[in-house]
Amino acid sequence: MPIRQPPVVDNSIQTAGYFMARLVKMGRYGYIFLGGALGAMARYMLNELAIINFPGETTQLISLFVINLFGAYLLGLTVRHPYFTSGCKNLWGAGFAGGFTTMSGVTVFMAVTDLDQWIWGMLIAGFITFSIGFRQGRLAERKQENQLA
Amino acid sequence: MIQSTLPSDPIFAIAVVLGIGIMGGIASVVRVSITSWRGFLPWGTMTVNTVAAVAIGFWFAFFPNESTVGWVTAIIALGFAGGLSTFSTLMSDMVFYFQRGRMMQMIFSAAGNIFIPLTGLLVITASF
Repeated sequence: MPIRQPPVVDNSIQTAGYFMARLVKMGRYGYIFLGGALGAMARYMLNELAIINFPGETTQLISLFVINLFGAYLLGLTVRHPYFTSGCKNLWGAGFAGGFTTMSGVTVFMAVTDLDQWIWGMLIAGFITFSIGFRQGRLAERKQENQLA
Repeated sequence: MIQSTLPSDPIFAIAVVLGIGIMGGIASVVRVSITSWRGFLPWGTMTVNTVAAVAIGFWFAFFPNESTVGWVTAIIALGFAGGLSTFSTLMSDMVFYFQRGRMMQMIFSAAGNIFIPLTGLLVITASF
């Protein structure tokens, strides 16, 4: 009795699709890596610029405020703004804004200094700046939809 | 923390900034992978913030004299831990809860992201 051979299935298209999906996913992480690296370097340079010129706890607090509020605004803007497509959103939203803002600096600042009450103000201000960015992005999205309609 | 950690040699300073960028990029990929963990509260955001604070606590506990290893401290604390922890994602979570009227979840996520990393940092620094 002849041995039955298994049917030959050409799944090269599925395999190519699988590898393309993997490459797209890795590309997403590449954008996040690049954005996070840019954000961390920008945060460090901004922080150093502030500390070298105006040493003191208040400077550190202002630096944390500027960094975190700008990062929150940028992340809010990238949520709905039509300019930020998937790659651009990963680069500037999840990557840059996430790497630029810091909570560990806030935690160490709270542990080292006595200016804790300002951190709660930072939370409220960050909430407001994120909302402003989110609203601006949504308005731009609606404007583009109205132009297309 | 308040002192500057930038080396005086310009070539070395550029290398330190690039090192901070590489560590920040790696930490960002880890952060995005972890912050997708959500439940009643944004557990992923709390985890990355706590891990970053505990990492800084361990670093300062083992190497308290930061003047000798200032640039390494900058790469670990400002690069890796700074890139791992995030403030903007917490704001995103808080606005997400606020828009849906979940005030308790919003308050708990804000308080948890402040107090849990702070507790971790203080416990680590007090233990060594």
